[in-house]
Amino acid sequence: MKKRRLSAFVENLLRNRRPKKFNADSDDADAMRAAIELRASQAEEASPRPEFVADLHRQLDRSLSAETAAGDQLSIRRVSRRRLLEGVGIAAAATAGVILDREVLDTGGPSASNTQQPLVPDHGTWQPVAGTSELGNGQVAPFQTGSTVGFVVNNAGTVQAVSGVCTHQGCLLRQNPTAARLECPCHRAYFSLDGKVISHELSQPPPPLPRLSVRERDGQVEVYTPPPV
Amino acid sequence: MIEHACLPTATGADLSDSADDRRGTATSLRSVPGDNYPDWEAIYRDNVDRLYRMMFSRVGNRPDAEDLTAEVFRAALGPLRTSASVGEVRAYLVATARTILASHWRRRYGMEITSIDVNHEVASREEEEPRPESNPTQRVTNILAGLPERYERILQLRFLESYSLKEAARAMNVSVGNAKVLQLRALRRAAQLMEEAP
Repeated sequence: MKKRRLSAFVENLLRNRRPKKFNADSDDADAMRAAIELRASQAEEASPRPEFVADLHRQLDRSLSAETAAGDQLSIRRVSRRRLLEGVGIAAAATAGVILDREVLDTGGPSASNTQQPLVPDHGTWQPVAGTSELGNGQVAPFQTGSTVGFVVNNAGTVQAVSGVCTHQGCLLRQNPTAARLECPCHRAYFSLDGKVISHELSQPPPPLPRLSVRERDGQVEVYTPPPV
Repeated sequence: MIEHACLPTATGADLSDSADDRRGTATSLRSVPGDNYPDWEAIYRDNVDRLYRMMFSRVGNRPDAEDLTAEVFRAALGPLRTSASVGEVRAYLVATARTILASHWRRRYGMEITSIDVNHEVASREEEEPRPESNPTQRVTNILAGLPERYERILQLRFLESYSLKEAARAMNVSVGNAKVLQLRALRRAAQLMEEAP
């Protein structure tokens, strides 16, 4: 056991400084582990500093923008995948594989999946579609942006946006205000206001409606949509 | 690339407190494991607090906790695409954190001091959002209570009451050298108790 270095380790922890490097043995490791647990249980530093959260956000924003600007998505993906497999190791590779395979294999073709997919265009902008004050609790507003149609819904203070196109054959859905659902005028297919299939009389259930990203800004509800066609 | 001026949310904007919340604090974010994140910022805001806390509880000091948290996001956000579900993204971030913490320890001390149990972390996150805050403190109280009196006292003074070594030595009527030795022995004994009461 290295008493001097271990004491310095404890001292640094208690002063919230970065402890120094040394070669520890298992006795050291036990004492260090105990010191960390004691320290972490008490410290007000258990929460991140707001400045740290904001700074890291800025750094990530810069580096991710640079990556996107570099343009070549395929090479970025290859690099990322290699880095990822090196970095994460075997136990985590299974988890990572789930994400990567889906990402790499996702060719944008029609999906037979019955899970609800977000609609996130590659090049979109935020478009105002309703005034916040017009969208009280439980209210629904149809919108049309020039490239998408849909509905925004205020569900107990949380606003959601779903596509307004039936996932069966593309007819435009209409709102049934008395039944609080979206109905297809072409065939009998009914969707809940958050896009899930309520009932249908088709041979296969249609996929749920894609969701759009939505935010509230300056008294406006905005959705993230592609530029007008 | 999505505009960054305001906070896009995972499932929608929270209108109820929007007037106070324009600067984009993460308080209105609520994501459920089956959903997707709309973009990397939503991933960041939903996970940064949790990952920092996880790291801080494993390293016990702010500079290292900040560096390691940043490293997790730098390593993870590039390869991540938002087509993965919230649950998958969280699991992936925790797995990345586990690896980064392990290599931090090997680099600094040649061996792993603490670790992250991925399955446990992911499961506990899905179970409960508001975490019982008293738990770690209660555990520490129990551990200290199980120590011989002088061990309990030195750790109480140093870790819970922020006494310097000199002040603790004076309070216990021993030399600074003795207090130092006492402190290390107490820590090793506490480590044994911690291991017995996981």
